[in-house]
Formats: sequence, C-alpha cells, structure tokens
Amino acid sequence: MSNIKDIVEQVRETPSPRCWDSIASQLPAVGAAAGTSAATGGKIAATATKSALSAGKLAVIIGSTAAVTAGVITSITVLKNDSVSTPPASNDNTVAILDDNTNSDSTTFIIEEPISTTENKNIAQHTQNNIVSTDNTTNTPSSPNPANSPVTTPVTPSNATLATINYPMAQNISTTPQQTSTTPQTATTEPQPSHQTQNQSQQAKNDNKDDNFDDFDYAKPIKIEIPNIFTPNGDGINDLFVISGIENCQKSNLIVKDHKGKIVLQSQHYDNNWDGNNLPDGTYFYQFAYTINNINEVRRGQLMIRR
Amino acid sequence: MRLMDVKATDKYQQIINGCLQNKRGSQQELYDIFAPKMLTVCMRYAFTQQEAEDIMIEGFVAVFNHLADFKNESSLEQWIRQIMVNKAISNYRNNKRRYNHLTIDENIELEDEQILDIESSMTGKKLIQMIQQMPDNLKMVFNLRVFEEYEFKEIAEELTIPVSTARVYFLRAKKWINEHIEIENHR
Repeated sequence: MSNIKDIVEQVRETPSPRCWDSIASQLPAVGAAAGTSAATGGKIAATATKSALSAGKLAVIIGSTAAVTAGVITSITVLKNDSVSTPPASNDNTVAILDDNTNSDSTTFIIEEPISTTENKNIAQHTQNNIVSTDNTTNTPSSPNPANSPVTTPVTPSNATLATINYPMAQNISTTPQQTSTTPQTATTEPQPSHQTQNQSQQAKNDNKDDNFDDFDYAKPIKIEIPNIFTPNGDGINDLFVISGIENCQKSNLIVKDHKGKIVLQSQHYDNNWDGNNLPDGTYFYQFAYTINNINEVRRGQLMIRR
Repeated sequence: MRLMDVKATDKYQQIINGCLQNKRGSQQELYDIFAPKMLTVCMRYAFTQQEAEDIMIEGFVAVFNHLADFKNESSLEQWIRQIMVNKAISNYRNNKRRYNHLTIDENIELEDEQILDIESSMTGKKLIQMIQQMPDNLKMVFNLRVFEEYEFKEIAEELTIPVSTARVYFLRAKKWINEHIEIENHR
C-alpha cells in the first residue's frame, strides 16, 4: 500500500509515433534561427508567434502588419546577404516567402527550380508588392491558425437566422488566385498548415490551376436556422420551436433560460419538439451547442414566445 | 514546490541550446526524455489516450516556441509539466463540457480536505484509467489538488468556480476514487 500520487507519478506511457510527427510539423523549419538572429528577426518572430497564439486578434495583427512592413522589407536584404534564414514562419506571408527563398530544400514545399541571384531581386520586388497587397486587402492571412480549427462561422448576436459554415476549402480557393497572380512561390507557402490544407496547397502547387480543386468533394454549407420567435397557441403554425438543419447535427444541446436566468429547458438531443411548456409569453434566451462534422459550435440568442 | 534540480538543468542546458537554435535533433532529444512522463500527466486530465496525446502535442509545441523564456527558476521538468497542466486546463475550458456548476453553501462541513494521501495497492496504469473515468469537474479538481498540489483558491481561479465548490468537488472526487478502489479490490 502506498500513496496514490507516488504510484501514478512512476507510470511512463509510451506516446504513439504520430505525436512527434505532429509536433515536428508545427515547429519552425529546420535551420531557422529561433531567437538568436538579428534584432529585426527577433521582432518578427515575436509578432509571428503572437499572431499564431491569438486566434481572435487576427484583425488587429493585420492592422499592425502595416507598421511591421517597413522593417520586413529592409530585413529581406539583410537576411539574404548573410544567408541567415528566417524566424519561425507562422501567420506572416512575408516571413514565409523569405523562408522558402533562403533555404528552399528544408521546407516541405519544395520549389523545383533553383533561384539565381537576379531572380532573388525580382522576388524581393514581388514580395514588396505582395506585402502591399496583403495590407490593402482585409482578407484573413492565407495561413490558417494552427491552434484553432480553420473554420469561421459568423455569429450574429440577435435576430440570428443564418449561420453558414465555411469549410477550409472555400477559404483556400478564395486566397489562391490572388497569390498565383503575384508569384508562384507565394501560392506554395503555407507555413503551418493543417493536414487538409497541406494537401490542397500542394495540389495547387503542382498545377497552379483552380480547376484542380474539382477533384475534391465539396461539402455543402449546412445552414442552421434558429428562429427568434414561435407561437405555441395550437393553431398549427409555428407551434414548436423548430431549428432547421438540426438533422445534420451529431450533437444538439439546447438550453433555454428565462429572463431571470432560470433554466426552463435543457435537452441533450433536441429534436424540434418543444412547445413552450405553458411558459408565460415573453422573451427567453437560448444557448444551442451543436456539432457538425466534428466541429463544435455554440450559438446564443433571444427567443420570444407569443401566443 | 520541488527544489531546484541544479544538476539536471546543467545536463539539459546543452539540449536547450540546441533547441534554441532550432536543431531538430535536440528537439527530438528533449521530446524523447520528457514525452513518456508528460503523457502520463496529460492522461490524468484526458478521457482517452488520443485526447491526452493531443494535449501533449499542443504542450510540446508551446514548450519549443517558448523555450527562450525558460529562466531556470524551476527545474526544466517542472516547467514543461506546468505548460502541460495549463494546456490541459485550457482544453477543459474550451470543451465546455460543464454547464451546471454547483453553487455550494460556504458553511458546509469540510473535515478531511487537507488529507491528500489516498492509499492503494493498485498499479499506476489502473489508477490512471480510473481517474480518466471520473466526471470532468471532479477530475480537474482532483488532479490539480492531488498531483499538482494547487491550493483551492488557485483551482477556483483556474476553473472559474467558487472556492467552496472546488472544495466540495475535491471531497466528492476523493469519495468517488475511494469507492472505485474499493470495488476494484473486491473484484
């Protein structure tokens, strides 16, 4: 007999091989100096890691790239002359481009043709253009955030009627043409992509055509429509609280609270069968947590009962 | 808190330097040293090995990205472990599997909450499996209190629950684990 803590602490579990592969794929490319490079490099690294970490602050970072831009352009030449490779590439387009130019062998996305010095200058020009273009367009940066799932769902606070799930596919298509127009290299640079987007970008690299995406199964956007009113008065019209599209959800957890915050309905697998339970007319608040294709979403909003 | 493990940090210094220069070899070395232990830590917080590995992956990526911030204030193992625990807590928060937290009266009798020792003759793996089966709320409090030796106040802050709730959860978790150990022993 001995203490539970001591027993458990002695256990050693063997991690499956996929763990290291996954970690290695999320780390900056080999040879990239992490914190020991020049001061400018360090700064870029700092912004890059920050942007990787904060999912919701993407917009802010896009704003701040304008400030960083100057530093990036100057640092291109510096880094290239010393043939020092770049800090970890995460969300910053420009950083990723540098990465590929300086040591094209190490990254997963290998650029076939060797780059001569004159071409390098051209690319430097291109990168400058590219920086400007990324600044002007308020698009999200092309690389999906590694920490979160690359899914964006617009959540409208009240009067919510529509939520379309944008699959990563769609995101990629929208960004690719813009990149191919500038330089082929930009299209291939996806710093830390998830496995799915990795395949896609490699496909895009091979053919450099959008037609190529026809090979993929397009998942149709699933609409989840939650009404903000229903009238359980027995006239056969809108008598139940019906969430359309609920049949596509693997999980549908509905909680309805009254204006005091008291839970009036809690359902683990809501099946469009709530008739208001003879609750008084008024405003209620729902929280609907659902899972579609292993993506968890939560939507909240107001709900009115009127008879 | 454990004492500083000076010798160990010296030993690891070379590996850390390699990692800071982003050498894959050093990174893998560090991973190979700590992964089995850290996976054990993560297992306690997760429901399946898969989930535990996901937490560990996230943790190690954070470790390598922030290794420059490691200041030798604690042992490297403790530092990495803390990152794993933080990842496990944020994993718990993000999953939002808890909806109804109890709000518990402050005046409830809490007698043996200071006793952390739970005696058992079971194997470690079996115990971990048992902890994994625990309800999520209890599991978090139990792990943080027993294995990470957090104060109830810290637990309450991390999990955003009242301190009294954390205390009651801990008592329930202890009761839960004792009952299950009992069942196992009679089997």
